[in-house]
Amino acid sequence: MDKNLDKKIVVNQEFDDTNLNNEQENPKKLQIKGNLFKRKTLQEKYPNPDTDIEIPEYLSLAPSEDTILRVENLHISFRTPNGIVRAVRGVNFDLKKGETLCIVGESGSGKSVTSRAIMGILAGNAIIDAGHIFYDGKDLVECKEKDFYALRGSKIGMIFQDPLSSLNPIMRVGKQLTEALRLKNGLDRETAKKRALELMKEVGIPQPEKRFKQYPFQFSGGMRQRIVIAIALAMEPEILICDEPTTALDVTIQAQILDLIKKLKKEKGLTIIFITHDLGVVANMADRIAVMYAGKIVEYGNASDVFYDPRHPYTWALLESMPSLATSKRLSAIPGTPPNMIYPPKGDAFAARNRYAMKIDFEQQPPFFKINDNHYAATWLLHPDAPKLENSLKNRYESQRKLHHIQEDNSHE
Amino acid sequence: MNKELNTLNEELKSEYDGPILELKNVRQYFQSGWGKSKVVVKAVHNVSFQVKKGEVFGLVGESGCGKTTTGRSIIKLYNITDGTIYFKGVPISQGNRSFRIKIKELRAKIAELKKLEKEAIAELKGDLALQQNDNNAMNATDNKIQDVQTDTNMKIAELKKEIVANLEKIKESKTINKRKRELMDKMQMIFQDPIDSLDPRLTVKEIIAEGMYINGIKDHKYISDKVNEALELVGLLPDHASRYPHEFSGGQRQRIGIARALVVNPDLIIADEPISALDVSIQAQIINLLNDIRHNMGLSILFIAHNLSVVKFFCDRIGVMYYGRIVEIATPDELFAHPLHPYTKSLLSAVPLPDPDYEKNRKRIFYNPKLREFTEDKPMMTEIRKGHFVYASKAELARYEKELNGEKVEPDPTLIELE
Repeated sequence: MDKNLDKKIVVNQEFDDTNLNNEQENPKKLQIKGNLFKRKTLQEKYPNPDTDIEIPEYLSLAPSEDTILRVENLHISFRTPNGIVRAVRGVNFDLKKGETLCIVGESGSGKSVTSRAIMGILAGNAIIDAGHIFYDGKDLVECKEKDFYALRGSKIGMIFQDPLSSLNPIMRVGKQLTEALRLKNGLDRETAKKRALELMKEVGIPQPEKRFKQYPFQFSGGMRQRIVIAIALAMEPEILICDEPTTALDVTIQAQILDLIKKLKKEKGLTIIFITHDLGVVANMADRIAVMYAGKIVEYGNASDVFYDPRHPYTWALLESMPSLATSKRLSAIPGTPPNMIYPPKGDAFAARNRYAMKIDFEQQPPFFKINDNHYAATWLLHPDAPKLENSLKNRYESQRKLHHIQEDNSHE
Repeated sequence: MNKELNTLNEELKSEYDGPILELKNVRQYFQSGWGKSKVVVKAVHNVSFQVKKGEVFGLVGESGCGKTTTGRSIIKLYNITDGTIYFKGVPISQGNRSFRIKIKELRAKIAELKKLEKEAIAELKGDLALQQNDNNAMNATDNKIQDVQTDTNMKIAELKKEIVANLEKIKESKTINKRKRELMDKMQMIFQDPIDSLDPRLTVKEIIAEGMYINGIKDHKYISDKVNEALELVGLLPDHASRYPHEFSGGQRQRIGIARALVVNPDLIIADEPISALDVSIQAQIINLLNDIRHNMGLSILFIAHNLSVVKFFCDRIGVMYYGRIVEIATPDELFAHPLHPYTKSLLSAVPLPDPDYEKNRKRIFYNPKLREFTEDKPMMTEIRKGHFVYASKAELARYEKELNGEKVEPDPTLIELE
């Protein structure tokens, strides 16, 4: 993006120079700057004023060797009839080989949009205003559709939320499984089928020969999701993006699917981006967590740090609003609703719903403050001048664990 | 008809102290196809429970276990196959499957009796042919034949009486199933999907007031006052009344759904997964709202959900459903401290908690019902402690008893620990 801008500026200057030379001869030409007949790009048509946000400290400037994906200062907007929705406003993260990064946030916080940008499957009305997604020495933001063909499936796989709508209802499951193998690996029908049956066994589908010939509607929700996982893994991708894979499933099936994903991760050395709004699932899966709110990452750190020592008020509120098995008092709900991203708030986006909001929260966006090497949060509360706060989350874990110890003791008996 | 309604109203006016909702052996079967391809799905299979006045009763279970069907059957969206549902002590719907089965059995019995009679008479007639010369013997066998005939006739008459009684019960169930509008108004439902459950072409006011229009209220001022009152009750503004559902967020839409249920002053609300489709930060708001309304209005709620931690927080009693049956009923504390039924245990072990250390060491257990043996020792719903019911056979009960007393028992054979 930056390079492009530079080029354009250079072009403009040249044009200006010629204009300057002709200034005296034809003063009217002075008004014209740039090529009038060139189509404006969407970025130029709908400029985003605040794309220059400094890259936070946690993205060390030189990417380390085990970083396989790196998202830098990503800004994505959507053109809608009501105005331009600023869905992602400066997301930065590193994905290290073999880890699970969980992106947590409510709907509309931009977590799915970020992952779709990585896959290059953004909707037609999306504009990438700025930013880079570095993968395998390439910047995916500048990738053409043609280049994405080589990436999708074979390098980066994706599992979607609703297993029913991500499968083709009028195509046998077997065909959907072998499709990628036949097209990309060029396998013949029989070897592709053999491989597909292996995959089905791997993801825990009983009687794969029989199931191979069935249609998606003949599968239960959990089994469908297993098929979707098998399809995603058919080309043995390096990175697996799971976009709320268990939201449509109930607890017992959810636990099975999570176990399956964990098992596959171990066996195949996958790197996983896991998107969800369920903190219980996050606790189960995550090595690192990025909490997103209103298109920005507000807290970023190791799983244990974020859960046991959360610093951003939004993370507190999220944790507190979930009734744990030990809660007995009134739930502390987060008041209000997420901001309308057509008019993104000026300061901290969470300020309006924040119990601990200060004056500065409404005026200026907070930078990332470092808590330790692996834990950062963007809130003014961490500023040395801010008042010190105690949160009540510690008690919660203790009481919750007590309850579970009772339960565990019982089950051991 | 009017007389019936009047007596019903009087019944309603007199304070009724019993359980507000009672299900007795309710079954809901769905059948599709005919002949060879006939499939009967036993969605709800012999369910009995009570909801006391002012209580929140939670139904949990995995999807497809029949919890939503139970809720829909109660509010008469389906006609139940068998059993009886009492609302405020009045039977509101009754299925006639058991009566029909009884009649079938009785008819089979009659046929059998007739067959036996025929055989006996044929035998006696054979005797008759042998005794042709002996008049006395012939008379005796004749008498015997008559005896057999009168005997079977009497038996058949008795059975026929029973058949008539059962037929009458079927007729009675038809009158029971007639909609009692005044009574059914006191039962309202909140649906799972806040988008699909609101008509996109009606304004919020029309949506909320629809129940009152149906009840024949025509006073516009009264209606708009009531609508505004309901909107304020659920935390919306009266200005919102003229807007359309698509202008609201998910949480607000669910509030509209709640307002629609509350506007007719119900006594019982069936909440069918009211928070599953909402965002985490909004879920707590809706739960708090339901909690406030329940305490302020003295409502009873049948809360259907699959999120166990919400159910534990919100409900006074919990019923765990598995494949159309209720397998365990207990208070939340009791259920979470001493889960007895293996399915409850496996369900509890699957609940994810926001606590990484716990999650990483969690052992999930899996329930395999095929490993249970019920061929001789039939399971029953039994009260093992006060208020703690479990569906178990006698052998299992003995083991549960030991478990409750803190003695060491062998691990449940139906539970498989997964790593």
